[in-house]
Parts: sequence; structure tokens; C-alpha cells
Amino acid sequence: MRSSYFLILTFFIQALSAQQTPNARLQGNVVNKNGNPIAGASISIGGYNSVTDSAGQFSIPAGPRDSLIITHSGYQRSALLLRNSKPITIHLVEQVKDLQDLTVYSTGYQSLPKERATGSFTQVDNSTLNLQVGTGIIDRLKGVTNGMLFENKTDNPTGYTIRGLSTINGPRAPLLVVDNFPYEGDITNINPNDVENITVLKDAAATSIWGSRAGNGVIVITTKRGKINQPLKIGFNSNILIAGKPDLSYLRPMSSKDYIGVERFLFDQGYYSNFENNPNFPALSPAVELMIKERDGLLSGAEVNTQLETLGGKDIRDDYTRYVYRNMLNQQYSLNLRGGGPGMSFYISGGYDHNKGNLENHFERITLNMTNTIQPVKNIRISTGMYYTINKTASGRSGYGTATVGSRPVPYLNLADVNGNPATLSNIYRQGFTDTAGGGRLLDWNYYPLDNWKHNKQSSLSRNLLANLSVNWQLIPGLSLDLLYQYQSGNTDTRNLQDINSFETRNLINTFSQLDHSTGVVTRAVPLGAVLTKGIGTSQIHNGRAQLNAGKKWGDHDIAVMAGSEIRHSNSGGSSFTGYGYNDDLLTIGIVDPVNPHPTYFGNSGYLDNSPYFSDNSNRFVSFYGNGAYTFREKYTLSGSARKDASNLFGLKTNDKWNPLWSAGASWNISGEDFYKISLLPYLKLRMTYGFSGNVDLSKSGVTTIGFYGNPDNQSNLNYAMIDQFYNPELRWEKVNTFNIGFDFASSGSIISGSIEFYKKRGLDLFGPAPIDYSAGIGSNTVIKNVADMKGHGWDINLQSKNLNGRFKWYSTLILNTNNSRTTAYYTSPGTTWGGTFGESITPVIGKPLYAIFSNPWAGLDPLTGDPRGLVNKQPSNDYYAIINGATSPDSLTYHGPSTPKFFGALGNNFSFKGLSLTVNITYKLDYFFRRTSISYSQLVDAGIGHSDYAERWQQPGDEDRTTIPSFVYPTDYNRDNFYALSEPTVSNGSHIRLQFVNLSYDREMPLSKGKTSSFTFYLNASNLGLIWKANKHGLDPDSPADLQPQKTYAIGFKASF
Amino acid sequence: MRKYKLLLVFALLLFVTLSTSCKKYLDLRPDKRIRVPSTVSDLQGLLDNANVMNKKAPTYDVLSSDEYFATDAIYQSFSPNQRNAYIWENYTYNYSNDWSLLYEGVYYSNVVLDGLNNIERTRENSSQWDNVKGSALVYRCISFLKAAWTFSKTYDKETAAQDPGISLRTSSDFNQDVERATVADTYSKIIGDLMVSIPLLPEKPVHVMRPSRQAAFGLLARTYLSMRIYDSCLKYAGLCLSVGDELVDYNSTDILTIYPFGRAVLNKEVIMNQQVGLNHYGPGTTMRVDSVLLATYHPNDLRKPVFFRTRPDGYQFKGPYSGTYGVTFTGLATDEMILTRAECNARAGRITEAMDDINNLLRMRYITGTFVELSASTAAEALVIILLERRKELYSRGLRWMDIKRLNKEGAGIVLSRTVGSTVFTLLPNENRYALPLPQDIILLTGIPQNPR
Repeated sequence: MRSSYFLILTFFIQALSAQQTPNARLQGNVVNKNGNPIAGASISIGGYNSVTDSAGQFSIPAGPRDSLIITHSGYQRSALLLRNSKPITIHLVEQVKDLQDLTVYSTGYQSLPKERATGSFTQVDNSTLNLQVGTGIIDRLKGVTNGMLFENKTDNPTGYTIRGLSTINGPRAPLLVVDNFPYEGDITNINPNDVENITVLKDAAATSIWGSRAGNGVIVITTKRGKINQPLKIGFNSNILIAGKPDLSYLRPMSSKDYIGVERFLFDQGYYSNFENNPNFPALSPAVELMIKERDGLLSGAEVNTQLETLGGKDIRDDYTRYVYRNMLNQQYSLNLRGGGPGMSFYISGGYDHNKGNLENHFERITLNMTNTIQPVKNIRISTGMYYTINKTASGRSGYGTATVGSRPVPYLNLADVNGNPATLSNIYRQGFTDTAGGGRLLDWNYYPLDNWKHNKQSSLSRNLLANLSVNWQLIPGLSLDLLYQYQSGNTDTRNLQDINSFETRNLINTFSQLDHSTGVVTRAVPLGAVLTKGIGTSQIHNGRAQLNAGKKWGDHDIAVMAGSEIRHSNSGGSSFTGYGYNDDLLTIGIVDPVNPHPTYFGNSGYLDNSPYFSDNSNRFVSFYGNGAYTFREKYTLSGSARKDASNLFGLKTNDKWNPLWSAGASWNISGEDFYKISLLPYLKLRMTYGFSGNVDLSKSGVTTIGFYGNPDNQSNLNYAMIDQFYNPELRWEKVNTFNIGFDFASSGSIISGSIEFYKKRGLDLFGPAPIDYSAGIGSNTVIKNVADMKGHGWDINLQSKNLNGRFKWYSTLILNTNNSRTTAYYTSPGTTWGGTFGESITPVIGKPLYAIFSNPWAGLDPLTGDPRGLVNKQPSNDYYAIINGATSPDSLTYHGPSTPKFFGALGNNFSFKGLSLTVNITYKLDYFFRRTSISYSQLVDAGIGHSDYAERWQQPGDEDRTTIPSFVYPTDYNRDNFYALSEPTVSNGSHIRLQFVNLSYDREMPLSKGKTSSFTFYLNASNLGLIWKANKHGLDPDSPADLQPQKTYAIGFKASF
Repeated sequence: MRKYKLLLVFALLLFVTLSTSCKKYLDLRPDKRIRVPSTVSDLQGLLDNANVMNKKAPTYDVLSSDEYFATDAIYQSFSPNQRNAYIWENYTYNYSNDWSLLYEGVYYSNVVLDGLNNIERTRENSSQWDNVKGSALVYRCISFLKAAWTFSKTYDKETAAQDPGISLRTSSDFNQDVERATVADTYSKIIGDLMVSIPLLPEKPVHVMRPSRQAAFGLLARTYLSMRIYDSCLKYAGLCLSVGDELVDYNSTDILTIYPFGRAVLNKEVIMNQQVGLNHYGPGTTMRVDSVLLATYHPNDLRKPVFFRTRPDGYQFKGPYSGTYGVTFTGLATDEMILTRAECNARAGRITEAMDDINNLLRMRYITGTFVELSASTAAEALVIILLERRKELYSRGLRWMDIKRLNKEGAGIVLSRTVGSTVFTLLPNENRYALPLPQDIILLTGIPQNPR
């Protein structure tokens, strides 16, 4: 593949240099359909450019067989091949007026022309999507999508939200739709090169079209199609994306020297004697082993100090960077053909991606796509489509954090010896035990952190098919019927092979080995060989839809109505099993006894489970929906939309299974009015929607349900069940009202255009955990009840400007979003105590944002002890129990602000000159807070997790003036650590500005023959370029305060179309 | 016009087929494993969930009684709640805890009992239906009884009608508020429910994980013993043993191994299995055995090697009756019933019957041929022997806390003391703190009274 890449590159360079010396100048003029001259049209030929003057005339060096490209913002682009050098007249065809032009929103049910839309939509077009490079399509929405916030919150695993939340404990993920139906499964199955555009549905119109699953917004992905009577077009795109090794220095572990200091202290306190006495021989760190040797007189104090000194100078991150991490390399190739003849069109594409990650983990994707449309008779159009994806993943090396001692992340471990050979590590058992256990009769019990990955491999192979058939039947003029069917089938095989040389397998076999010391015979409950765990997951989804569309226009009236019904069945199943003593060469397997417990080498016992596991889940939905719009004099539009869904959820009586949703909207094209005279803004439109939706959580219901375990009880051998959901008769539906008002506008010549939108959301009876008297015994101290109300509002502002529009162009796009939410009611039980928050989950404080940061009030460090102090009866105190129990109202906490940005958005600047185009995209998040991690001494002692803040801790009186980090005390006090972790000093302002990506591309177009052009694009892209500005003084990226930052990536690519 | 008609027919057809088939279409279960319990077997499945019904016994009482001690190093490794429980000061603990563990079993029983209301008892399902109902009652009584022993004062017929007992939950609706019943009501509920269960249950169960009539008798004997109503206790201990009174000869066991009766084996003395949850802080492995008690075992007494194992810092309990190393068995077994019967006989002055039971038991515990029969000349003498053997035999069986409480009521004057570092903590007989405190969050939420300090 690399050589072909080189060929293309060579060809490209030749194309650049192959400019002939012009021997003649071509004269000409450019006119519109009425013959009036067009000024300012740009003419390009090879590397030469010219612009028409006020008389529409131009002159450019050119001769026969040169190809000419004429562009003007108000007209369709034209290309022609010169036959001779005679002056020519070029007719340009006017483009439909800007903004009322080609934009068509695809809602998944219909294509809605922008001028008829009353709701809130954001469309990201193909060229914007192509500004970013990568494997996944959703990532390309970063920095370019109005109203969409990318952030990490523990209770929203998707990592992005559209206009904040309208539920507190309900599902948070926006609905993903590919073409006409919701997409289930991994969206990385869709190759970004096959995507034409993306429409984001943001307001009540979304839910009233898509049902309650759309409460968090809808992302409609429209794939590329051919067009009828379109000449064959071949497109090719290839790119390489690279990234260096992850920057581990961003992480803030405790220094090795400090770490050893703490270990020395604990050793002197006798902390490790419990470990030494433990019959399971738990692992101890190298430093502690040295201290034991010193105590036992096996090593001299001086010798131990020298060795500790050496360890103190080590940083395991260096080893990871040196021995484990590699550069990342992603390759992407795609090829597509599209075209159409009379009565038919097609789009065929193939894509191949190969990503090699920093840990030599692999991802491979092959996508094959074929869509056809035929029109056998004039009033029937039939489309078929097939989208097939094969995904393969394979695990790689073990990354930072995996080499531990007894799960303690000791910072000075060696991954390799002085010669770079893989080192051994006592990760679970003490070295003294692993060296001598079984006197050589057991398997090697050492762990090799650099090698183990070769013997413990996870891989997956998944195949996903999306097949669809749609029929559009024009019954009579103005009335058509759509019949759609889609089948989605997924199949994923996962496999984890831990061969006999993996630590995991050796450890398992040894653990279940019995050694007869007199005869030396080893009895093994687990046969020698690999441990193989295989899983198979399958899914099948059937979607059917029948929809009637009617439209009529008479006089000043225009009416468009559609109604339909939909049926959906999805089924997913799975099975998995574990085999022991597996031989991957011969495909033979051993057996274990799953019924009886087996003694362990340490004198305990355990079970070996190898029974298969099966699952089978089905969801069914039936929906009826309809919507309509009436437009009067092309100025006033009224629209309405309603939907009812039913599903096979448990415990819902049939009546409750039906979920009604509706929305209504109106728009007014103000600039169409006769009285409208503002020439600065020739286009101005007002639109608004209001809607109602409800939400019932799939997992909470009105009857008690039980679930049976797959395997019988070990002792009684009886199959048994657990309670899955409990009878919760008081639960009502969540209700959400949404209001949206917006203006679309454009100045003369679209120098400035955009939209300003304001929205309000009101949620009532929202679900939330409410504390209960757990004497009820449901296995939890909370139940889901309708506990909360919330309100939210915000602005979505999108401005586009053409700052310079000559030969050198400078266009800007500004996205400004605000989002404010607050809890307006929340039931809390009497006696609830309040404490600081991380802002990672919903804060139930009335009048405060849904995600808010509160702190325990801070009274400084105690000048005598370095204890963190809070307030009890307004006096400084280190009675943490009294502080925690005294906080009986949220007023006793310090409120900082929201943990999601109040203002966020992006600024994109595009500069272009001739074919050269540079885009710089900046994203920002402003006015919010985040909580930093700091040292927790309980964590340090109990789990060995340190933090660099330790170095800055209070150590002697006076230190309280320079630091807020408490002194180290032992025994540790969990309440003290907790108080500090959630106190005022660990909060920082999260505002920041980020350089999201820079894209540089060079386009070149050449006409091939009449009406056909070929274009080549060469592009460079750099993403995740880091922060430009941040409010916090701790060097932290507020988007990843405790983890690695997103890696800077660089891509180079080439695109061609013929 | 024809086209319109065709369309109308088509639309009607679509609507009719969709709406009629809709109900059936939507009745498919979303997850094949998950179902609304609708058969007796479904409910039996819930009761067979040993992790909830058999292996969730609490240890708060074990931690508070005098069978184990913690060295300073062990005390250091305790959680704050464990530390406070060890020194009888645990007034501040929250979810999750022993209280919540006990009531999980109660909830399952209540779901089953409520579920039975919707299932008709027919000729075909009658025996299974009865078994499920009787079992659910027995399981709920086990939880109620343990809760009463732990969180209430000792039953005293003078004050039982005033002393706060426990929450008697009898519905699966968690929205219901339930107050603390009195101690009198608590015990009468337990006895009443066990009486109802007796005719419903089989004499012997399919497996000792399940309740049986024998188990119900045994529980009644336990209940009456803790109420110090010895005649009724004697009656039910006798009925229990009449179903089966087999004992294991400890000479037959593999005493040196850590599983003297075999791994995961419930030996033939077990009437019904109940044990401490595996993930629950078990004193068995973490704490050490009271050394004063250890000294009372005769060198020929096999119970010492069967029950205990030496560690560098003392003796560790093997937990042999649970079949899982270090895990405390709290279920019913014949040895307990024999000791209970002997005690009741001794208290009634029937010295011969009492000493016969003791001698029959100990013969199975000593090295064959070495046991010298014990005798007592007075009932009081017999009682002393029986109570000491009770301690030695029923070590860590979840009974000691109840025994200390009732025996102190009889005037035994047992004083508990702990030494942590240089601080000594003591618990005097019949102190308020013998009713361990309820979780703080429950007190705050429901306003039910906390036990006095």
C-alpha cells in the first residue's frame, strides 16, 4: 500500500509542475442568463487566476486544450475545455438564493426544506465533516456543531450532549440514526467517507418525530447516494494519521523518593507485619523487601540505603515510554463510484482502515457499501442498499498502570533489567514465595510485565450488515406512499486466549495445585494448557415503516402532511464459555470439575466455572406518527407533529405502554413582508416550537420481575433466581416541555449570516433515587421515584461571516452556546447530610445547576498539626464527624458554580487563496469549575496510590501559609481525607480555550471532458493541539484533570475525484 | 377514484392488522431470563437463592461477643464500623450493614408470600405450594429472630410488652412505613409464623439449604430458649431430634485438614444451612480465638483440632460446619439441639436425661476409647457442665451473643472486656448496649427509636 501511495504522490507533484508556458491570452466575458455581465467571478486555469471586472470581462493566459473553471458565490460553478483561443462568452447559471437554497434537513422520516422548518436543526455538511480526519464519524462533529457539547461525565458514557439534559436519571445518550432508522451497535461501523452530511435535531420537533428515545436530541447521519442522470464519478480518499507516544509526564503520581519515604515510615510502624504473616504471601514492594532484609540482618543498612537511593531515582513512566509505548499510526483508504442513468442511480464504495495504537493494539475495518435506485415506471422508485462492515481488534501491550505490586501502583518498578531484558515482578505474591513455592515442581510463578501481553491476547471480530429496501410509490399527484424495510444484523466473536506462558494461566494452575511433599507429586485441578474464553454476540433488528405523504399547493396555500406507522423488533443474544487446558494447535481441551470446590495451594478453596452462559433479549416497538405543515403565501408556516410509541416493556399495562408526544411550531418569513425594508438584512425569519414529551425508564416498572441464574447453586445444585426489578407502584412518567425560538438571517450577499436561537426546557416528575427505609430489604437504600423538577435554558448562536471575499478569502464561523440548568425541586429525606461534590453526577440542590460543584467550607490548615479544618458552629474545627453530621442543609456548603460550562462553542477561521485553504478551529468552554485530585492518605496507605501533592504537604508550623495540603497522619483517617478531597482548595476554574484542529488543503480542479471535472485535494491536518489558555494555575487540562490528555494527532491525506 | 378506494382499503387493512396483533406482539418478554413470577416454581427459584436466603447471616453480634479477640494489629486493619462494633460503640453506621442484610431475606420471603396470593393452590401444585409458603415463613422467621437477638433487649416477660423490638415487615411494598414492634409482639410473630409453617413443610427437605419441619421445630426451640421458656423449648428440641438425631463421630473426620468434613460438605448433623456471607467481614479468618476458652478443651477432645488451626499470633477458626474455610455456620444442627435439650432437662431437674445427652455427644467428640463419662450430682452442677460444653461445641455458631444475654438474665454475671492498646473497654451484664444500635440512617429517615446507649 505504501508504494501505491508514493505513486499517487508522484503523480500529484507532476500534475503541479506540468504547467505549460502560456503562449496566448484568452479574452472573454461572463454573463448571467439574461445576458447581464457578472462582476467578480473568478476564472482559474492551472495555476493562473483572474477575476471579471464590472463589465464581466476577463483576460487570462490560456490556449487550446486548457481547462477553465469559473466560480462565483451566487452562481453554479462552471468548467469547460478550450478548443481554441477565440474570445468566449460564458453563461453562468444562478444558484438558488443563499440560505433559502439547497439546505434540506433530513429528519430520518422526511426531507424538510430549510424554509419550511420551524424547529431547531444543525446541519454539518460534507466539506465541514472532511475538515477532520479519523476513524469515527462522531468525533468529526467536535468544534463544528452548534449546540453540541463534548465532555466526560461519569454518568454519560457517550461523552457528548445536545443542549444539556432534560432528565436527571433517565438515559442521556442522543439517538443515532443512519439514513432512516436508529442505528444499534457501534457507530464506528460506519465509514466517515460514506457520510454525506449530518443533521442534528435539537428541540421538541425531534422527540415528536422520533419518540421518547430522542429526548436527548437526535443525530441523523445521511450516507452518500447516486443521482439519477449523473455521470459516473469516482472518488478516492486516503490518509495517514500519526501520533507520538502518550505524554505520561502530564500525570501526577508521587515521586519515587517520597513513596519510599512513606514505605519506610509504615515499615517502622509495623504496618507490613500483617502482610508478612498472611498465609497467602501477598506481594511487597522492592523497597519493603529491602527493609525486611535489613531488619533480618541479611543486608547491611548501608547496602540497603544505596539500593533504596537507586530505586528513589527511578520513574516507572520512563520505562513505559521507553519499552512499552510506540507511535500510533492509522491508515485509511476509501474508494467510491457513483452515478446514474435514466431511471437508475447507484453508489458503491469500499473502505479499509488499519489503526495501530500506542500499545500495538490493532483495529481493522473493512466497509463495503452499495446502494441502488431504480425507477421501473414513472411513479415508482425502488432503492436497495447494503452496508457491510467487518471489524477486527486485537489487544496489545499492557499500558501504564498495569505493573503493580499487590495492585499498588509502585512508581519505581523496573520493567526491564539494565540490558533491556524483560524484568520479573512480584505482582501478587512475594518474590520469596514465587521463587521457592513447590520446590520447582509448580509452574513458574513470576510475572513479566513486558512479555505477558504476548501470552494474554484479546481479540474480536465483528461483522455487521445493514440491508434495506424502500419503495416510493407516487399514487396520484400529491400523494405518495413510502414502504421501508431495514434489516440489521451483527455478529461479534470475542476471544481471550491466555496461553500457558501467561501469568494469569500459570497463576490459576498453580493456585489450584496440590503438592504432596513426601512424593513430590503435583495434583492439578486445572489441566496444563491455555485458558480460552470465547464469547459470541448476535443481534438482529427488523424495522418496517409505512408512510403516506401528501402535499398540495393552491393559490396562497401550501399544505404538506405525512402519517405513518412503524414496527421494530430487535433481538440480541449471546453465549460465552471458558475452556481450560486448551491447545490452540490441536484444538484439544481439558476438563475441570465445576461441581465441587477445589483446594487452593494456600489452604482455601474455590470453584472452577466453565459452564456456558446464554442470554437472549428482545425489544419490540410499535409506533404511529404524523406531522403536517401549512404555509400561507410562503411567509407563514404552522406545523404540528405527534407520535405514539408502544413497547414490550415489563410491567406496563397496555395503556401505559403507549407514550404520546407532540410538538407544534410556527415560522414567519419577516423579510417577505411588504413593510420589511431593512436592506442590511435582506433575509430574516422567525420560528418557534413548543412540545411535550414523556419518558418512562425501561428499567423501572410496576411489577416485580425475577431473573434466573444460568448455573445452579454450587451446593444445592438447584437452579435459582434473583429479584430483577421490584414492584414500584408509585412511579409516574417523567414529563418534559420544550420551547424554542429562533431567528435566521442573512445580510446582503450573505456577508454575515446565521441564526440565533433561545430554548427553554422544563422537566417535571423526573426520576431520581430517593432514600427509603431499607428495612424494606430490596437490596438498596434508595429507590427510583419521581423526585425532581428541573428547568434549563440556553442560547445557540451561529454566525458566519465573509470577512474577505476577493481572491484571498477569509471566512469565519462562530458558534456560541450557553446552557443553564437548575434543579427546581428535589425530594430529600429528613436527616440527609450534605457534603462537597465532584460535579460528576447530578446535584440535588434546589436552585443550583444539575451538575454543580459544592465544597466543604475551609478554615485552613491547623497551624499546629496541619489538619485540614472545616467549620463547626462557625468555628474552625477538625472534628470531621461533627463537620459531616452538622451539614444538614446545602447552605452549609460553599457553592462554586456549575461543573458543565455555561458558555461553550467554537471559532473557525478559513483562509483560502486559489486552491489553498487553511482552517483553524478553536473551541472554548467558559465559566465552570472542576475538582482536582489530590493526596488521600487512606488511599496512599491502603491502596498505595500516591499523588505529587504529597511533596507540598504541611510538614511543620508555618507551612499552613504556603500550602493547603494536609499533613500526613497515621493511622489514616478516612473522614479527614474525604473532608479535604471535597473541600474548597481542590476546586479550580475550568475555563479554557483549546486549539482543536488545523487543516490545510490544496485543491486543484481540471476538466476532463465537457461537463466533467476531476479534482485533487492534498490535505494536512493536526488535531488536539492543546490548550491556548486556561484559567487554572495547576497546569491541568480541565477536560482530563486526572487522566492522560487527548493525544496530538497529525494526518496527511490525498483525495481525488474523477 | 379507484385508486382512492384501493388506498383506503389498504390503510384500513394495515390499521386493523397492526392494532389487533399489537397486544400479542408487545407481550414478548424483553429478556428471556427475566419473568414476572407467575408459577410456584418461579417463587421456589427465589427461595433457592442461597446467596440471599442462606448465606447472608450477619456478624455484628459475633464481633461484639466474647468468642474472638483482635490483636492491636488486627484492630488496626478494621474499618471504623468494625472497630466501633468491637468496643460496643457503633452508633453511627449507615447502609450497608447487618440490618440491611437481614432484611434482604425478609424482602424475598415477602415477595414470595405476596406472589402466592396470585397463584391458585391446586391439587397438582399443592405440595410445592405448601412447601414454598412454609419455607418463606421459616426464612423470614430466621431473619426476624436474628434481628431480635441482635437489636433488641433480651426477652423478659415483665418488660417485653414495652421494650422496642424490630420492624416486622410483612409486605413487599417498600412504600409502607413500619414501626418497631414490641419485643413481645416480635417473638409472638415469630412463634406464630413457625407454627403456621410446620404443617406445610416436609419432615426432611430435598436439600438442607431448604427449610423443613425439623428446622421449624429447631427454630422454635431456639426461640423459646432465648425467651427462657424452657418447657416449650424442651418440647420442640425433642420434636426436632425425633426427626433425626445423627451425630458425626469426630474420629472419622480428617481432623488435620482445613476441611475436617470435606470441602463444601455440609455434614450429616446439619438440619438447615445458614452461614455468614462470603464477602462479609468474617471474624473467622481475621480474628483470633479466645484463649481462655481454648484452655478448656481436654487434650483428647477432637473439637480443638477440628475447629481450630494455629497461626503465628494465635488460633484461627476453620468454620467446619459451613464447609467453607473460616466461614461461620449459623444454621441448625443436631448437636445444638442435643445441648439445648440437655440444658432444659437440667433446668427442670432431670439430671440423668441431661447427662445422658451430654455423654452421648461427647463420646463422638473424644478420641475413641478415651472418653470418661461425666456425671453431676445436682442440677446446678449439671447445668455448669452443659453450659461449658455448649460454649465449646457451639463455637462461632451465631448463638453466643444470645446466650450471654439470656444467661446474664439468669444471673450468670458474664462481663465482657476488650483491650485495645492500653485502653480497656467493658460491657457489664444486662447493659443497654446489649441491644446493639440500629443504623443511624434508618433512625434519621424513619424516626423509629434508637436503642439507648
